[in-house]
Amino acid sequence: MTELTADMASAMIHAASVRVAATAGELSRLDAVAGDGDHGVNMAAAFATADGSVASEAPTDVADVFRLVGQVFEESGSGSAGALFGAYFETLGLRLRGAPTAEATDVVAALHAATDRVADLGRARLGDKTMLDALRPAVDAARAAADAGASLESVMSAARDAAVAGAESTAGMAAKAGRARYARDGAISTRDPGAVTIAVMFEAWADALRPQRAQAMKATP
Amino acid sequence: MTLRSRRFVNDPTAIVSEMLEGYVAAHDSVIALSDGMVVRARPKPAGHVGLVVANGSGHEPALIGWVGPGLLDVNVPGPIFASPGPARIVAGLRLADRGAGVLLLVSSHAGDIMNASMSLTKAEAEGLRVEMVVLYDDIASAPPDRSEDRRGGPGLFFVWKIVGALAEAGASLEDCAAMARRARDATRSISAAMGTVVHPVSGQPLGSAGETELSVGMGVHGEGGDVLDEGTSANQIAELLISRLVDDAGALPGTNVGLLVNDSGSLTLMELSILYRGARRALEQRGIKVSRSWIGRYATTLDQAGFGFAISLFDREMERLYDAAARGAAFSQVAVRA
Repeated sequence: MTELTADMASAMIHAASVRVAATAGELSRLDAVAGDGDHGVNMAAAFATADGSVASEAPTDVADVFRLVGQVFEESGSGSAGALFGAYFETLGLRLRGAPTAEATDVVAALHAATDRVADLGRARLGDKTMLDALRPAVDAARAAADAGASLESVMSAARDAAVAGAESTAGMAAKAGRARYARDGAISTRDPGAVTIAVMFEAWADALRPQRAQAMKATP
Repeated sequence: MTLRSRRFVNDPTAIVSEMLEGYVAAHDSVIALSDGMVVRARPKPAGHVGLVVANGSGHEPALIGWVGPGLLDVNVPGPIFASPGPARIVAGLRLADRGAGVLLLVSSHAGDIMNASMSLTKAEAEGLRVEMVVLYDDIASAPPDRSEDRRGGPGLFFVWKIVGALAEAGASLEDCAAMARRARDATRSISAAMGTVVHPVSGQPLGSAGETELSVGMGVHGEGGDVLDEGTSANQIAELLISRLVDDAGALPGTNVGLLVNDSGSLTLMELSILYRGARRALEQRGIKVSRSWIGRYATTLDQAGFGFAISLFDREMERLYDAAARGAAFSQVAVRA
């Protein structure tokens, strides 16, 4: 069974940085409906800094990769998103501490704890039209896959599919948390930019863990 | 009317840092820059409670102009309309610590609260003594029974002023925090604006308001409100907003209030004065006495063509603190009726 190594986690962050940068314009346009219209730009900048920080420090423990990313987001000062993504990655780092690599079930447990932390910090519930509407289905699908004995790659693919569907479902929701709840109609009819960012991130992660990719990234067997 | 999308700037990514450098240099007898944060040129004496506010930029003179004697100790400015991160806020708390604890005042907005809560945990782990009070006043953002869901608006200037004076006088951390809550609970605001503004970095207009749309209940980031008829007069708007404030506050005839007419960015003093006149009349018709007034630019949303009214139901102690001397770059007064 493939375990998540620091190299693979670094590849996940790199892939997320590339993919968020490519969708930055769309994310900002979604944000402009009820926010400042700078979400994509901020997220792309923070992921790029995180990617650079991981590349230069080259941590050998998977936990340290996520811890570093958390630090970058917390220092990026991108308002709610900076705090929420910072807390998410910080929690992943805390939960994966103690071993250099992580099994699929460890990863799922960490994703679960990180999702709970985001829900708690953002005081958001499922259906409030927030990033939680992508995070929660993703971790539920990941857990179901891991419980059925799926590999890390399959677990992440399941998480990706659920995150994408979750992000899509936010079109049609009226915002009940965050600044968007003050928009005239709760920004109904557009997708939540935070949820879409999560979907983009999980797409990148699933892609980075595909066997041929993972091999190219010197994954341990 | 078209939205102004060109600004006098250099590098869009350096807007905040270049603004801070310029503003602080222009007021270097009052404030200084320390690691990107605005601090007093001369720190408060040891043994006094430090006051810190962290907020997104784009609301100037909030709150870079409100650091100084009788006001705040440290302002931690974030990027445009985004709270600084927890690490920055903790650095600000450290700078403000004069051995009597630090009060972190938070204007209620999702990102500000999240980053402030995270900073609180980290500061406490470092052994700093910090209290956090979340402040809100905007009646358009939630009904009275859910006042803790309300946003921070221009009325918070009454709170900054009153708590600033109390901390300067040497009150304890507990007393400063209690006064912050008391002043908050006595204060209400509501805002109105025409159209929206363009974010200087993303180039996107904020919110979805039409260019000439007149709306009431806007947030400080262009969040939409109720749309009014374009022909509504200043007096009609003033009457409408004051009636909502007075109802919400339950202000009875004979009440003493402070009245603030805040320019959200690009109104003329002509308009502000006409609005003030309307607001004051609307209050006096209800038997409410305006004992203290502010008019001008306090919290802006870049160059938004809008304004906010705030009232604060002053008691004697709040009036006394309001009247105490203060000296910030954007607000200063000698002690009155001492």
